[in-house]
Amino acid sequence: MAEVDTGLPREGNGEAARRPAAFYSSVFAQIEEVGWDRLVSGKGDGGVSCLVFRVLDDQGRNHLLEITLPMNYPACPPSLMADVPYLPQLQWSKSSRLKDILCQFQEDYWSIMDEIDKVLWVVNPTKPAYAMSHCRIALGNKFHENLSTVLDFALPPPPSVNIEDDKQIDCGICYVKHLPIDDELGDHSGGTTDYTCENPSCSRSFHSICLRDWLRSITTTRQSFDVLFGNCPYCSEPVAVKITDR
Amino acid sequence: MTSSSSPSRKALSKIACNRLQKELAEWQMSPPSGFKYRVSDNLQRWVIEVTGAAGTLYAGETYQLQVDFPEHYPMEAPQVIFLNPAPMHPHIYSNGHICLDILYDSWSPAMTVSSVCISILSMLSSSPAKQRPQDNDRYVRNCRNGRSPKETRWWFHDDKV
Repeated sequence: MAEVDTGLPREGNGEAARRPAAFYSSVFAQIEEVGWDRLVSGKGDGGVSCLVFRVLDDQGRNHLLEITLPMNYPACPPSLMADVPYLPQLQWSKSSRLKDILCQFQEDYWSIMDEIDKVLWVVNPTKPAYAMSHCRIALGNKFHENLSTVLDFALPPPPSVNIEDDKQIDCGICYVKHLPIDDELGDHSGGTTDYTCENPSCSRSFHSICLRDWLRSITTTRQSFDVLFGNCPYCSEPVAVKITDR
Repeated sequence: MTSSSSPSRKALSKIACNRLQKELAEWQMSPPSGFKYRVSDNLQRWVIEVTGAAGTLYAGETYQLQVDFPEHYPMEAPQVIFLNPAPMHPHIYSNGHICLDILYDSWSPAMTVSSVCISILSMLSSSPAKQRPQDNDRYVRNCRNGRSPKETRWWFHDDKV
């Protein structure tokens, strides 16, 4: 064994570390248990400190599991690397062997992602690696409606149309910016808010036609010629609107 | 009981319809606490469940408010009544009619269903005793033909409760 030892230095260790001969025979025996045909490659310390095994999952796919053996193996557990979304905590004891690691390396995660690939329209990644636990799927047109139905909850609109903004533009009486398109409204049909309360701390916008209809519906309003005098429904400051012909 | 009394059921105007849809959306986004809107496809009649606030005479009790909107809402106030059984309160008649100024003379289009509900809950919360108004029997007798509370000429004499 010692002759084939390439003696690669360990990480963070300036000089080539040597392992006892028993280490090599033990590791070789453990590889034997797993099967030499499943060993893809070996590097360092005579090709045994970093071993790559081939693992076949229940869907018949090949995965590569890289096992790095520490200097004090098997007292310390080896470190694992594989193309998986996460690695479960390795169950390890002094008497554990390589075959135990391979036994623990079981993943049903890929079948879930495979199912998504099969059933849904995955936009990207088009060729996902096994380690990828996220993907973008096409949602179709009715998605937000379905989501609202499932949640039994109306999803909030974008923040740009929040209440503060509405107050600036929308009529404080009918709550919309544009009046309905309606012949009965004459020139006002489809019109925007055209009256603003003069009280600077209110500045509420209205359609003059909405304000006029409101002032006409209450008894406290006074009329002088073609002007209605009343109060802003919000701040109660005096307001005056002209009665325009329909 | 005249809990089924309703104003002349003329369909909502376009303006009323738009406004109510906005109010409903706003309600669903942030409902006033203590109230639950009973989902229906009738925009003109809302049935709202109100639960008495903790620490008040009505704590944990649940009542139902029926809100009917007139054709020209919000130029006119909605008709708001309690469905049977109405809570025992000095301003609430046994037929569900509520003596509250904002529902009649003091209505303004700046108010909303949500703000009206909050006023009603605060009226309940400040009640000193579970009792009917003094003129309950006479009033209810006069309303027997399904008269709307909006046809009553209310006399708001007590602003403490």
